[in-house]
Amino acid sequence: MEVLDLRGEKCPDTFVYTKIKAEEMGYSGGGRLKVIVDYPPAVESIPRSLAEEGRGYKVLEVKHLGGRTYEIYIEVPAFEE
Amino acid sequence: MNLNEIKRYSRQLILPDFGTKEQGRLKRARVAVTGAGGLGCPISTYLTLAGVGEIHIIDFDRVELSNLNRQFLYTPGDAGRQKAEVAAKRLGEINPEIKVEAITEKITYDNAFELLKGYDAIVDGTDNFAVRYAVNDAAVVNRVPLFHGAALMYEGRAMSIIPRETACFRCVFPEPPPAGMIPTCREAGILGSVVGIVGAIQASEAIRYLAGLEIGLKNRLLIINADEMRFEKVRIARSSECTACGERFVPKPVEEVCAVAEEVEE
Repeated sequence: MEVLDLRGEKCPDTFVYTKIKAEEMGYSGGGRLKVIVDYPPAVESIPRSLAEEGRGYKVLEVKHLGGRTYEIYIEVPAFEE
Repeated sequence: MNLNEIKRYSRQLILPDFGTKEQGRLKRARVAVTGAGGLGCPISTYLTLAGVGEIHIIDFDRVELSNLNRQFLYTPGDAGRQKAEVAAKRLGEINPEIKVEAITEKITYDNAFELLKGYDAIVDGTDNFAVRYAVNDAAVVNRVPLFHGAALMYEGRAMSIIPRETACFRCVFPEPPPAGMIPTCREAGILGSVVGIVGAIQASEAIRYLAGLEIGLKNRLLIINADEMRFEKVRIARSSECTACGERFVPKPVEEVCAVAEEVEE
């Protein structure tokens, strides 16, 4: 599983880095991605923004690690292109 | 007009409907540009090039690297500096015949009415609803023509507001969108060329208005879709129930709801 530690980042940069990483994974066969954030609005906006991409990303789980820290588990499919 | 001015403005002085009288009106005009970002850069640049005599750039924000895909008045070396100051300096260099001033204050509903007084026009380049409504209400109450514009993703909008004569922003959009429609991060995306189109349209409207010429976006909302490059002009009208320009003015501050707005601090 790939890990993207975005602690200290805010929206929309949390999504910027998530999107870049997910695309990189999608173009090289897909896989699982864990994104760590400590900006609570990102917990909702990352999954929503990923869904809007229409790439078939699946959010498997969101774990609250306590305080402001969350882990978002994402299944990235292999892209066709 | 001095010789430098004649040369500098020669290509617009030979335009139909435009001449020394119109150029003189531009020179005597005092304009506020609210925001020195994606819209503010093209707006203030075109006002500067056209020879608007006094331009006040109002922005409290500082330059960030993520601004540089659209905010062409800044270089990487400007990161961390006050946008209004960098912009005013650069624009003053571009056209030394005019006066460009920086105001590094944050526009709020409380200070907008005082801050936006005594101008011949306001061209709005703000990026959030709280300030946009404050600017609209202040322009209407102070009776200053307002040239509105907004851009998001591949879409843009523009309208020209002559207070108490044409529809204002609040006539068309009495309330900001509900919190449930808060844009996602994706929707914070923006292409420089698209926001540039919108800013250039606002500047064209403002310049023609200040020169005393007819303008095309009174009582009209221009909707631009750069996906398919569609331009649509929708008829709009004043509302007697408008809290800004209707029968009675009611102050109505708007809370900023967008979680992706860059200035949002927890």
